[in-house]
Amino acid sequence: MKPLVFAAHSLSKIYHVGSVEIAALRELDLNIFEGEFIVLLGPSGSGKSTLLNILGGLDSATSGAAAWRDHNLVAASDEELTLYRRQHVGFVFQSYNLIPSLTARENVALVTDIAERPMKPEDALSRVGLDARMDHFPSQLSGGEQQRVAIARAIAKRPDVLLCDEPTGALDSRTGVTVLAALDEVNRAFGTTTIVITHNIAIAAMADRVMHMADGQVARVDENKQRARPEDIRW
Amino acid sequence: MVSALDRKLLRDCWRLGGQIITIALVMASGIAVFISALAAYHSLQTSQERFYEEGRFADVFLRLKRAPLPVADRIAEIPGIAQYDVRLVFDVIIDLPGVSLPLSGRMVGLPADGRLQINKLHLMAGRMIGADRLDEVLVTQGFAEGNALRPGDMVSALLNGRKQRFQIVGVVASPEYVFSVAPGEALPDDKRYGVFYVAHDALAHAFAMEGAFNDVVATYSPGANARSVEAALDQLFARWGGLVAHGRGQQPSHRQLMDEVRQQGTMATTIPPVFLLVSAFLLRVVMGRLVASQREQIATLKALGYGSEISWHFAKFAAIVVTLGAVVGVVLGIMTGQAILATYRPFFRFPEFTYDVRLWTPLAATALAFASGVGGALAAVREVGRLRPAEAMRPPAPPAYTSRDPRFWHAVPARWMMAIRGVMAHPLRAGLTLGGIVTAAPLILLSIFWTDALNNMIDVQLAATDRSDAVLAFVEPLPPRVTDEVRRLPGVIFAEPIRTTPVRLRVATQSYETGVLGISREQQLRRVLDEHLAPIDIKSDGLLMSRRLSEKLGLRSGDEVDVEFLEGRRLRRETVLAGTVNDLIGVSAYADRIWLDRFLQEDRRVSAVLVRLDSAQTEDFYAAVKRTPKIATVSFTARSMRNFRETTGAVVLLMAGFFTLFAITIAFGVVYNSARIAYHEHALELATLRILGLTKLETARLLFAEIVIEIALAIPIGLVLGRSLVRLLLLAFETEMFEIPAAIGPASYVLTALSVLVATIASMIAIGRQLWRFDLVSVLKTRA
Ligand SMILES: Nc1ncnc2c1ncn2[C@@H]1O[C@H](COP(=O)(O)OP(=O)(O)OP(=O)(O)O)[C@@H](O)[C@H]1O
Ligand SMILES: [Mg+2]
Repeated sequence: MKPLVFAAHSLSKIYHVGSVEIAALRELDLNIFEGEFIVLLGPSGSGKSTLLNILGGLDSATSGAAAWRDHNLVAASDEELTLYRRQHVGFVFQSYNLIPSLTARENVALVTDIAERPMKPEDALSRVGLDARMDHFPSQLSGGEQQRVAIARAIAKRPDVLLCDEPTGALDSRTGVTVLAALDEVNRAFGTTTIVITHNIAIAAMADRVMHMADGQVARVDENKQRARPEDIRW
Repeated sequence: MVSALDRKLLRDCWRLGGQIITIALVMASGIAVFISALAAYHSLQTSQERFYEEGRFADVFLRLKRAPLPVADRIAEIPGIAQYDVRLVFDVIIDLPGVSLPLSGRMVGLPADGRLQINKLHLMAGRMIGADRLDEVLVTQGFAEGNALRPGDMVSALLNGRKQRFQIVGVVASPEYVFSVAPGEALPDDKRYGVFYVAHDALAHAFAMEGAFNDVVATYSPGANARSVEAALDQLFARWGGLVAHGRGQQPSHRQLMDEVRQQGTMATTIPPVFLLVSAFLLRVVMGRLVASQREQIATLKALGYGSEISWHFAKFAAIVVTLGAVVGVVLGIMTGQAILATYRPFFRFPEFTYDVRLWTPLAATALAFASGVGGALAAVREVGRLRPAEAMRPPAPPAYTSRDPRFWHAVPARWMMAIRGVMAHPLRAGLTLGGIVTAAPLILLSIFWTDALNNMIDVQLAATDRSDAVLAFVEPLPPRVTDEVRRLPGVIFAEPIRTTPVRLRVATQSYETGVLGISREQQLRRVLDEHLAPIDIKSDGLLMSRRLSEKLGLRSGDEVDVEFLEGRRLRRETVLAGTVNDLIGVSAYADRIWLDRFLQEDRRVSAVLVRLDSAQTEDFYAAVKRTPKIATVSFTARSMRNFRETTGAVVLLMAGFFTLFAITIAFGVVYNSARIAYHEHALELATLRILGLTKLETARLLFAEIVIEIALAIPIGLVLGRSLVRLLLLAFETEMFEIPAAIGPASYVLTALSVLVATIASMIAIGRQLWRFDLVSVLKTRA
């Protein structure tokens, strides 16, 4: 049995808009183990991003418990969350969030400059297949390439967890596969616990476990006997 | 029903509130200066015109020694003269009950029937002098106020050595003495100097001037030729000891008024444009940024079928800024104008000092504000109109970043590269910010250096020039033994004579009337100094001159000057300009005393004696002065300095205070807007960095790096520029009679730099607070 890394219990996130209360997460329970590749599925508005943001230390919950190993993510201060992100978390978003004035290499260096035991930016880029494009600015790269730079940036500090919110949402099937392959590679090579949000059911095939969210809760968890290889996925 | 677009406008305004307010304030400052300066200008002008009209202010003035009354009839024969008055005028020592200090006064004799043709008096309280009343006196408003005198009170005057008591029957204002200063002084001192009107015979008896007069004032008839009237008057009175007839231009009260009016004009035309330009610039930058950040929204609106409404939408944004600025500016301007006028009141004694804001000034100010608003907004609004939806849906073409950086830059952390490339990719924007701050620093310096200038003037320049405790001036030049007599007065430690004589200087076709001050090389109490405050060696021959006078006459050292001595036999001599003197107040010529005596071909004479006093015996000295005949005026140096500091000093500091506030507004406006724009521009990047694990402090440092570098560059540039601007401004404010030293103390530089720094830090705190409250998730959602 692998060690438990993420544990959430009775986790709730309530938004107040005027006098209306919107529950993005309601009493959610969840366990994720070291090195797992998790795919989060669910209808729009079911609370996927909210959950991911809380697990990544970007947002705080209203009530309940959530922890990464011995880090309490609900009670943590802003500074503690910043440190948690800095040391342990890599993010990848649908919009790549690269800095336009920095080259691919420099975008990765942003993270390696402050990390404790980083890879060299070149190694991170080469791992996502971008050896030839290191000195290009984001505007000179395709969407898929930009997303791979974002992945390189996320993995360059050898994070313990990699959180991806619709990483292939803006990409076509072929390009999407290269991005997924990069994620899969990192997960296998470093044992990085990886959570990927997607609307694409096909992608669920490459996960260890698939969590289906509905109404701010994990409604169902499916376990894959065999993880599909990214190259075999089509949509 | 507010349209959706207008709702968006209101929300944008709310979001950009800080920027809107700072820009509007800068604009308001410019408008306020414009309106207040013009209000002061018009108030002075209107009050002056009214009073001159009502009081029939004279056009030409002439002092003489003594002429028999029948000669006056010949004045009427001069073509171009409309009306005239002849009178007796004497400077005397005034003694007020309960005041130990000897005061100075000018006594003017009224015609037998008490009616003046010109320079008519305006009765403010009490009544005019009764017929044949030799013991009644009218006093000017300032003196009455300064000494709390009312009709019925008594005042004594030392007339030709005899103390005479008068009863005050009325308080008056005269167009001739709107601004009245004791001879030899620069500023009014209402406690110590006043003008007094008594019956002609009261003076005639005391000074043995029965059937005679010593002063002529006249008005011109329409179309009169001033020069030929003056020449005819000169000719008529030359044999009666006449000095030169002069026009209003050299009449002290009038000259001071005109200088003040002109300075307010200078103020209204030089300072507001700077403020309006800065605000236009700020508006331009902010709107440029607003449009750039809303490209996609604009495109969407256009795709929805909106047309010119969108351009209007942005134009309205500018209109809101300008309207706010104009309203605040007009109100502020009207109030500031009133404050300026209040400070003028003790200086300029009009019977009625009306506050005159012409309707066109706020209108013009508003129009100027709108013009600068249009200037600032035009580019952005046109850009909105030009944006094509399809094109605008895509983010703007990124600036062409280049990675061909110098080698050593590879050592620079990537996050700093981001800041550096940001500046390099927008050199114009960085330059504009720099320019804005560079403008702010000189404006602050320009406002706070006044204190230095004033202190320099009083403590350094005047103190070094005049080191006496008191100056006794005589009714007429006296033989040298008078110095010994003064020396024997109680309390006098040291006494030194000086000789002054009125002259007319001629160079080519120009002429100028002034006085020559004769002093000796060994003089201790009154010195002539160069610009480094070193005593100038008084050449044994030749004339020294105030720098402003030599410039006015276009003279250089060694050039020839024709000097006519106006006292006595009216000798005329050629001499040379031996050098220039760095005096700040007044215009005069200086010469060696012995040389002057030789030149005048007369025995040694003394016009005034400067003394050093034993402070333990001042009361005895005062009492002695009141008993001594032949003293026309007495002035006390320390008192004059104090008066100077309290009156002009207060005005100057008030104005400087206003301006410092305005200037700091600019500094804050510029810095805040720059920082705010940088923040908006980088919000998404900063959020990304925070997600990647950079701390708040690290991101703040990145955000503010640009502004810190710009400030570090801008402050020194601004200070250097400020120094030049101070010089330029002082040149614009320099009048013939007055000059302000461009002395800027180190403290002012430091204070200026600090003000800019404080403005910067305040802006950073305002924006830093947003950075601190950053909601990472919502930034990710909106992608600003
Ligand atoms: N700042 C907010 N204020 C109010 N409600 C919010 C806010 N953010 C999210 N919500 C609400 O919380 C719920 C969950 O949002 P969340 O973004 O987690 O959904 P999601 O599952 O990621 O959806 P999608 O697949 O569309 O991205 C939604 O109903 C949403 O409207
Ligand atoms: Mg989502």
